[in-house]
Amino acid sequence: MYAGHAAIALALRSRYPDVAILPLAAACYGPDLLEAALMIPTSRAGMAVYTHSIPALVLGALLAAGMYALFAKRRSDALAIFLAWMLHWPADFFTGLKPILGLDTRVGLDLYHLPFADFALETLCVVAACAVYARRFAPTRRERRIVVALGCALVVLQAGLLWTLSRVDWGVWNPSLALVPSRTHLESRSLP
Amino acid sequence: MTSVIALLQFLLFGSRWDIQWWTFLLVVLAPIAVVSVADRRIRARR
Repeated sequence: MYAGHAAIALALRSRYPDVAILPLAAACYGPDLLEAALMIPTSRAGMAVYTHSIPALVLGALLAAGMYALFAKRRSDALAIFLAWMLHWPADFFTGLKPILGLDTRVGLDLYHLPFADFALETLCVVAACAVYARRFAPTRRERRIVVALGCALVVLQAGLLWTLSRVDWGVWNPSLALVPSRTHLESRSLP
Repeated sequence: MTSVIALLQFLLFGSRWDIQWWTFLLVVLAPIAVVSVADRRIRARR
């Protein structure tokens, strides 16, 4: 997921209004930021297990929440940072194939390879989050205009990403919910 | 159009299919920046 993570940040900001938006948004994209850092010495291939697997996610969320609790004035809001980091995986489940433990057990709906479906889903997330955010923080018309501009900017970013992906990634839609490779019926019957 | 896509591919992926770290970082930072700027503008008005 791409713009959807920002939508999660807006929704969490509405629930935890005292958390600063920058650390909250950064935590929502935490595994991706970690992946970018790990890409500096090497390539992206194989990095997902260190950033997007469930153990890596829990460890990253605990570290981020711990650091926030250490440096922020309101320690109780560290829960928001923890949740922001942890919600990255369920969000990514819709759009890609994400590891559970290792790279051999990746699951997800792979909507990046169905750009229109992904665009519809992420736009829906952005619109819903902007509505919740506006209800909490934008009572006046001028403030609501900023929220509308924010939503439009996120949708444009999403469209740009999907347009680019559709031209450089020619992979086919390959959703996976199984932990083991599928077998044909005949292969299954030949087994003891 | 093809040359635009080729330029985009070069900017995004360099000479390989693997995306470069700086491009990936920019792509990730863009929505964070958008959300942060909008939130600060709204808070400044309150």
